[in-house]
Amino acid sequence: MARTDTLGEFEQTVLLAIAHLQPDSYGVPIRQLIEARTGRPIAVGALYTALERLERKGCVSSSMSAPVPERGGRSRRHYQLRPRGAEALRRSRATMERMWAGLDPALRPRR
Amino acid sequence: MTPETRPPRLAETLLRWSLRREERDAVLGDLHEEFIERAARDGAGGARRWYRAQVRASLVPNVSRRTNGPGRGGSAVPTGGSMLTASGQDLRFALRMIRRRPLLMIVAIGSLGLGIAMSTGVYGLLEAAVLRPLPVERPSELRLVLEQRERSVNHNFTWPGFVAWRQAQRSFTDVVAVSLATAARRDAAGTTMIAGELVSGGYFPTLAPRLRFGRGLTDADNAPGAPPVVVLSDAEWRRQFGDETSLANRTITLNEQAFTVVGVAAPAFRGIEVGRDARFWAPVVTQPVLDPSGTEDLLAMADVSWLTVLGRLRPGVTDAAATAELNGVGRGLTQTPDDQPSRLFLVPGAQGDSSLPDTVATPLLLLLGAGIVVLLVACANVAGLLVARTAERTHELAIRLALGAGRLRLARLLLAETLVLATAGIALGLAGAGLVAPLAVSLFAEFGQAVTLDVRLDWRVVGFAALAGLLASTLAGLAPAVRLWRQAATAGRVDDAGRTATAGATALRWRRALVTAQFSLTVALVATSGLFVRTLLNLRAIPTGLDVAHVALISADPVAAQYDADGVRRYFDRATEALARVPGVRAAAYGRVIPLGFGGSRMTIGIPGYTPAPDEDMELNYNIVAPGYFDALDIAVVDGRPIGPEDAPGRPTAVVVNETMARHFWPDGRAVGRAVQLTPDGPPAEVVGVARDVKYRTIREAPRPSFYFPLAQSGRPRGGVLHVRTAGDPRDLLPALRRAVIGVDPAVPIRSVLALEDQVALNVNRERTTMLIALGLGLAAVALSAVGLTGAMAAAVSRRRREIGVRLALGARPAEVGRLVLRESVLMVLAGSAIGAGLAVTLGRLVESRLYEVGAFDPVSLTGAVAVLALVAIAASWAPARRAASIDPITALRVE
Repeated sequence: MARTDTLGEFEQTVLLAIAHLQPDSYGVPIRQLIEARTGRPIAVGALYTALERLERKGCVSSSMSAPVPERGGRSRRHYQLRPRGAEALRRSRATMERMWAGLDPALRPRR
Repeated sequence: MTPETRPPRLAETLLRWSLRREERDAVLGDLHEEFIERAARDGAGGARRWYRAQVRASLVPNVSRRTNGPGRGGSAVPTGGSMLTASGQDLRFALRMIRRRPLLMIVAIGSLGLGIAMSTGVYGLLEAAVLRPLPVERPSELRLVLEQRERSVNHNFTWPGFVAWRQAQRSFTDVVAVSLATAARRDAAGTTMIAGELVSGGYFPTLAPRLRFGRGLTDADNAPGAPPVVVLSDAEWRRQFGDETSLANRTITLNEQAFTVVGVAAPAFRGIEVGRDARFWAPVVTQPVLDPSGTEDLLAMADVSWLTVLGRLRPGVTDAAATAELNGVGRGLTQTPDDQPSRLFLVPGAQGDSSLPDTVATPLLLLLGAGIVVLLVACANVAGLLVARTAERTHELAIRLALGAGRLRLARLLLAETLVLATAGIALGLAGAGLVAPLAVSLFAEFGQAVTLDVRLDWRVVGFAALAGLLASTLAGLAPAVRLWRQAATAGRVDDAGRTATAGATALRWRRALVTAQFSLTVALVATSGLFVRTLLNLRAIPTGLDVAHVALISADPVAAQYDADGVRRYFDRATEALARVPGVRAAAYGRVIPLGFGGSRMTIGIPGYTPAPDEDMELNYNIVAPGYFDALDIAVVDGRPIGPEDAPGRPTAVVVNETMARHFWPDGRAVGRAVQLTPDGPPAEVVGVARDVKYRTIREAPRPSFYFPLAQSGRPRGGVLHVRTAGDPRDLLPALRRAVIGVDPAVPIRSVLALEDQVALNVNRERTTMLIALGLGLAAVALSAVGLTGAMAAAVSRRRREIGVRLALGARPAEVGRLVLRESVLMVLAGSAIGAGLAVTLGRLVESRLYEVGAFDPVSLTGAVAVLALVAIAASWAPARRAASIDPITALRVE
C-alpha cells in the first residue's frame, strides 16, 4: 500500500476535522465542524462513505463507545487520526503548496 | 420519550434499511443525537425536516457502500461480485440509464405494455370463460350426469327419478338437481325477467358456494308445504337492499309471489352455468310458481326431463365404479324406454353444465394466438430500441471491456435494463388488460343473452402477464446481447471513431430486419382480421325474407303472471290493440316464435297421401300467429290467404305453409286446399295459404319446410312476441311501445323489447365479437409497427446525415432525398408484406372453419392489408423523410 494514499478534497476535509476535534471526534461534531467551516451541507451518508474509505486506507482508526442515552441508547464511533493519515495530509498539503508556488499574485482575487 | 422528540419513524426505518448492521449504531446514533439537539434549538418541525433531508441525501451513498461491501473499492465500473449484490447495483445503473433517455424508454415500455395488455386481455377472457372452475368447494370432485341416447346426448332428468336415485346411491357424498329458470321480478322499477336456479336440498351443502351472509337452502326448504324462500345473488341483493346486511323481513316478489330472503351468495357465485347471471336460488318445489311450463307440476311427473344433475364423488370412488352404480340404481332418472339403447355416464362437473366454454374455447384460443403475435410485434420494437441503445453505448461498453469487465458482467448489465423494462411493461400491460377485457366481455352474447363473465386479474392472469413480459423482454434483449458478445471478441480498441460507426451500421441492419419481421406479422394479422370483416359482411348480406328495418319486437310472458289459456289469448288481443294505437305504428300482431331467435317449436305432422322417405324427418318448424302477422312482418302470401279473424275456435284449423313446404309435399299442384294432420288422430287441418320463405331460427340456416297456424285455434297458448311494423325507425318508438304493453297489465313481465334489425344482428354476434377483437389486435399491431418503423427510419436518417449532406452538396434536390428515405421504408414494408402474405394464408387456414363464403386465401383482404400498411409506412416515415430533406449540407459535413 505504499504511496497510494493521495487524498480527495473531501477526504482531506474530513481528516482535518478529525485532527481538530481529537479526542472527541465522532460523527456529530465532525459533520457540524465541516458544515460550519465550509458552509456546505454534508449528508451523514456521504460522511460515512468517506470515513470508511479513510479507514480502509489506514488513515484513521475507530472505536465504539459505551451506549449513550441521549442518542437512543446507541454507541458512538470515535475516529482517531493514524500516522498514515497525518502523513497523507502533510503530503497533500505539500503537493498543493508546490503547485501554488509562484502563482499567488495571478490568482489572488482582484479586489 | 414523547413523539415530538423522536426522529421521523419512516425516515429512520428507511435509513436503517440502507445501512450495514455494523454501521447502524454510529450513523443512526449521530442523527438521533443531532436531532435532539436541533429539536431543542429550532423546534421539532425544523428538526424533523432536517432529519428527512439528511436521510434523503444519505440513502444513495449508504446503499452503494452497502452493496460494494467492506473491502472493495468504490469503482465507477461495476465489476464481478456476487450475483445478488451486483444485481442490485445493475438495477440502479439501469434505472439511471433509463432516466437519461426517457423518450426511448417510454416508447419501449409503451410498446411492451400494449403487447402485454392485448395478449393478457384475451387470456383473461379465456380464463374467465373456459379455464376457471365454478367458485365452489373442491370443484374437481364434481361430476355431471349425462345420458347417451341413440343419436344424442341428453342433459335433463326427471324429479321422481332423482329423488329415488339420491336415496339409493352410495358413490357420491350427495347429489344435486338444478333447473335453470327465469322468473318475473316485480319491484319499484317494474317487472323484469331475471335468471335463477331451482335447486334441490343438497345444492348448498354439497357445492358449498361461499355465502356473504344468511344461510343456504336445505332439504327442509324442499319439503312439501315449506314457506317460499330464496337465496339472492350479491348483485340482486344490492339492487334490492343496497348495503344492508340484515335479513329481517326481506322479501322479493317473483312471478307475483313473495319469497322470503334467507341468504345472500358471495359476489363471485352466479350459479352453475358459466356466463349466466343467476340472481336467485329457490327450492325446486317452487317449480309450479317459478317455472310455469303451462303451470304443470313437473315434480310429480316421471316422464318429463327438466333437471340438470350433479354429484360430488366420494373420496376413493372411481368414475368407473360410480358410472356402473349410476346405470343400476339411477335408471329412473331417464324417461328413455327400456327397449331403446341408452347409457348414463359422468363427465367432470367443475364448470357445471355450461355450453359457453366449449363454444368460445376455439375462437378465444385463436385470438390468444393473435394476441401473442401482437406481443411479438411489440417485442420487435423493444429489441430495435435496445439495439439502438447498445449501439449508442458501444464506446462506453468498449471502455468497460477494456477495463476488464467480463462479457457475462456486461450481458448482466443489459439484462438488468431489460428487467426494469419488463417490470414497467408488465405493470402497464396489466392495467391495460384490466380495461380491455371487460370491454371485450360486453361484446359477447350467447343466443341473444348477454354473457356475464367474471374477468379479473387473479394470480393466473397476473402470472400470464408476468411470463409474457419476461419472455418478451428477454427475447427483445437477446439481439443486443448477441451483438455485444461479438463485439466483446474484438474488445480493446476503444478510441477510434470508425469502430463506433461500424457498430451503428450493424445496429441499423438489425433494426431493418426487425421492422421487416414486424410488418410481416402485422400484414398477416390485418389480413386475417380482414377475413373476419368479410365474413361478417357476407352474413349480414343474407336475405331474411323479412322487412328487417321497420319491425320492433316485444316479448311478453303472461303465463309467468299466472294467466290461463283464454287469459293469454285475451291479453295478446288487448296488447295488439294498445300497440296499434301508438302513433307511428302501422300494424301489430302476435307470433309465438321470435324471428331469428335461435329457438323455435317443432311438431311431427302427417300429410295424407304422402309417404315419407325412410329417414325423412317429419318434425317441422311451426309458428303460432294471430291475424295480421304476415302484414306486420311484410311476408308476402303468394297463394291463398293469410291467417285471419275467421279462423276461430271450433272451425277447422287453418294452416299457412311456406313455399319450401308447398314445393316439397305438393310438387305438382296447388298446396291450398290440401289437408295436414297436426295430431295423429284428430281432424285434419286445411292449408289456406302459401307464404314466402323466411329465416326461422338463424341466419345461416337453409330453407326448410315450415308452417303457421292460428293463436285462436291453438290448444295451449304460451308467452310470445308482439311484432310491430313502424313507419320510421322502430328504435325511436321502443319506449312508447313498452309503455303501451305495460299499460295492459303491469304484472306481465316483458322479456325483451328490441328492433328486429338488432335481433338479426344477434345472429352474427359471435362473428362480430371475433371480428372486433381481431380488428383491435390488428390495430394494435399496426400502431406498434408504425412506431417501430418511425424509430428505425429516424435512426437511419441520422446515421446517413453525412451521406445526405454530400448528396445535397453535389446538387441533389431535397425532394429527391426525401424520396430516398420513403423508398427505403416502402421497400421494407414490401419485403415484410411478401412474407406476411404467406403467413396470412397459413393463419387463414387455421380460422377457415369460422369463415363464411370467403376462403383462407382472399386477395381482397390481402391487398387491403398491404395497402393499409403501405399507407401507414409512408405516414410513419414522413417525418424522418422531411428531416432528411431539410438537412443543411454545410452543418452535416462539418460534423466530425
